[in-house]
Amino acid sequence: MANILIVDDAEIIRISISRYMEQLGHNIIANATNGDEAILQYKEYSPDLVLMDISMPEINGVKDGIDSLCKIMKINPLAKVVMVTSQGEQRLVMEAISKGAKGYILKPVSKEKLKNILDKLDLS
Amino acid sequence: MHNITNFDVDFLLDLYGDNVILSMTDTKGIIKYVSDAYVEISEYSRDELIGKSQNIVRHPDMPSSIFKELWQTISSGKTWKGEIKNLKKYKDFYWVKATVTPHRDENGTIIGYASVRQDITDKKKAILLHTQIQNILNNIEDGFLTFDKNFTIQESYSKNCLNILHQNNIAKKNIAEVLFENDKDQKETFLFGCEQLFQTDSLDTKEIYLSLLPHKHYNNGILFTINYKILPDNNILLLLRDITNQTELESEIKYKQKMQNMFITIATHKEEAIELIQSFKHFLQDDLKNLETDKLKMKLHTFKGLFSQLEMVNTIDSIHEIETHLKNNTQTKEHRINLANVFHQDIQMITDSFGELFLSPTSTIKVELNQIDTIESELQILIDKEKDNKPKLFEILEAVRHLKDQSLLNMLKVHEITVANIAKAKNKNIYPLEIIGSKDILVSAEFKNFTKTLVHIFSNSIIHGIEDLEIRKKYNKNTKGKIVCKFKLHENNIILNISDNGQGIDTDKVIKKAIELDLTTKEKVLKLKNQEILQFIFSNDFSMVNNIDEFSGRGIGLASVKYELLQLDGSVYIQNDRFKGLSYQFTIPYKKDVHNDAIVIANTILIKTKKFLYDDLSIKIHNTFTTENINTNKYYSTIQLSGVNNVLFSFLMDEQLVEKAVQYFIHDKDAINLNKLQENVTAEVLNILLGLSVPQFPQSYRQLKLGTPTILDNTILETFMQNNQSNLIHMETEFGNLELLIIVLNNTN
Repeated sequence: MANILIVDDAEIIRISISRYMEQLGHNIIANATNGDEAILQYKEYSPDLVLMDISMPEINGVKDGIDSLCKIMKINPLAKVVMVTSQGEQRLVMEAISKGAKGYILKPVSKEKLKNILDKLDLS
Repeated sequence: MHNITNFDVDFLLDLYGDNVILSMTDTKGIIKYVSDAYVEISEYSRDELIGKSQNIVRHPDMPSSIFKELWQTISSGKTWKGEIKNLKKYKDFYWVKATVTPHRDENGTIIGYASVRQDITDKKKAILLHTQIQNILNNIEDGFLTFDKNFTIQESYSKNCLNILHQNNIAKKNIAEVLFENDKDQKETFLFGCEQLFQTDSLDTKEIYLSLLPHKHYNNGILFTINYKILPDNNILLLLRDITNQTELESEIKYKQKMQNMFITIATHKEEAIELIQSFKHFLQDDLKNLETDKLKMKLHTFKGLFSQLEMVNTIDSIHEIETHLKNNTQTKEHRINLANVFHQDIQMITDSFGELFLSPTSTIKVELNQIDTIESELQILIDKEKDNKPKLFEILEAVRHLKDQSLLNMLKVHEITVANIAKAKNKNIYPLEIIGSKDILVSAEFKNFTKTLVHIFSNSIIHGIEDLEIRKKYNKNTKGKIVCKFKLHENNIILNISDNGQGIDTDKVIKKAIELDLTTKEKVLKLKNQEILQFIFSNDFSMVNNIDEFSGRGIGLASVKYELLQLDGSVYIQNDRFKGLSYQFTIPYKKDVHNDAIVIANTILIKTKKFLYDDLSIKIHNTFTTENINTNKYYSTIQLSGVNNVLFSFLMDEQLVEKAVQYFIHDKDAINLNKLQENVTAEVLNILLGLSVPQFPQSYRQLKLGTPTILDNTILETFMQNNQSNLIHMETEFGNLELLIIVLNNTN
């Protein structure tokens, strides 16, 4: 069982990821709606996996998913962060991977996709 | 052998015998001497070779003509050179490049022949392999090529690469340039992704980068897919496939759809369209030629945005093209002329559809409904952002919305003329229509659909209600007929009463007709209340007369009144005083929330779904019904539509239907990534249907936001259904079933 932090500004995405993760037998340790919250939550809970929306609205200088990713990687260089993305964001994802993200999920998010990524990261 | 035992030769043989395949024969071809290298490659021992004919190593593949030529050459005293395939002892072969020279004694007489050979087996095998590969590469439809860390294309590639990439030769060229010559973004993504890929050692990470590289590209009129494979030497193999023809048909359908969208948007945003088109005409005449590049870029970009709102796709594409040329400094007069042509074609299509006058600007200043809508939507945005002052803003919003309301009295006034006209045509002597009610009662524009249908009530009264003059005299009634229309507000309802002083309705005739139309039976009718019998007159095809003329008898009139009344959630009560008069009392909720955009769209999507199945996919729909039971263990593709209300649309299609849908749009630009996965296809269909439904409501669609498709399973949807109002529609088609679940979320969700 992995402890998971979900970062997404859209509630419906957070709810569906949570439900699927619970069905897959994992624990949602925290939710965050922006990058700032994500970093605070990461420091507090040190989750096994972070699912991070790659494009979130800019709040308090934390630009987006990639910025937050970098900050988390600084806190823990071994952090497992997976980006949640849409069609057309390939260039951004490449950047995220080069900055240390362990993979990505293309929306729409489904249980199968989540299971695949968990398998790849040896978290299942 | 004494002739060759001099010191020099022995010395050389000792030195090079290991390396040089050397043999000497007598004039008949009998082997007299072989070097160590010869022994080694032939697999025979020296003893087995000496004294044997040179033919011992002759390979059956070699044509005898070669040996004939060889012997003719050397026996005439000349040197022969050539490539020969030889046979080893154990039936394997080796290739040599041989030089055979006559050996002479002191008198110059040929006493034998010496051969020096070089092993060229590897080279021969490589050439053969290369030819085989090239043959394969040149005869397959796909384009294969490889490139290295420096992005240099390798020598071997399949011929079809040239066709797909529109090049004469690609060897040693830069792959990024060749693939994406005109697309800076794609090129950048490609280069960045490949560089990262070459840098990392992790195979998993390499795979991730591969999946993110461009997988589809359009260039020089050819649409092709790109697949990548990392080779053992770390070079990358590309597989290119031309899919232009496959997509042409689909894109034609897409194009027609886009055109339809353009017409709808322009019709509903007429004023904006006229203004934009005028200013773009000026721009084409002056600015396009004269402006400096930077300003031109900005202006073009703004125009592109504006045209996007009007969905004038051809013009947008053309602007986009000229923008690209501006960026690359390749913009020419031809591009400008092309832009003007495309724009005028778009305009032509618009005037063809709406008439020449449609786009002519008007000189009067009016407040158009859509301007109020703009204010309304801007207010809505403010309200969304605002935290403290919401109530005040809502008040303003309400006020703005009421700007669109109209006086009910004015809506009804048009019937004064109608009534007079019908009476005149029917030779009935009646007073002018009397309308009694406050001009301050305002109703939404939707009300007009209902008030229009009231013409059927009036004509019924005049034709069937008001008796002819003689009859009225006979029964001592006022010689003049009278129709009165009264309305007032009562407990948040509008009560609208239309009454006449005619003969009322003969209920026996109504019963007879109702039985005739199978609306009821002789047995059932006995149990019906008087009011229930009277309500039959609002049924379809219900006509009391046989002759059909301009004003009456089609039997659809009163049914349409009922239909529009139901749209307003209204009801009607009939008061029948036989021989004295008839009155209809309509009760309609006054404060009906007409701004439930998302809910209205929820109703539309069902119609759009049926249309999509029937018209676009030619699938017959057998049956549609609502149900309460959601499918277990199924995944529904879900999209959230946010507006005044938030609505979840969930979609589930059977596999056969999905397959049909895939055929319809799999070659669409994004569809290549759908993987044919059921949920993804349904999500895409849902996206299209919502995309078609939302613009149907131009006054509100600026405020509506479509979310990203998400896959939800029945357990999640059930929790949503428990707490919210929902509607699950089941559709049976000839290719399996389809389910559409609409959930109206409470604001707390």
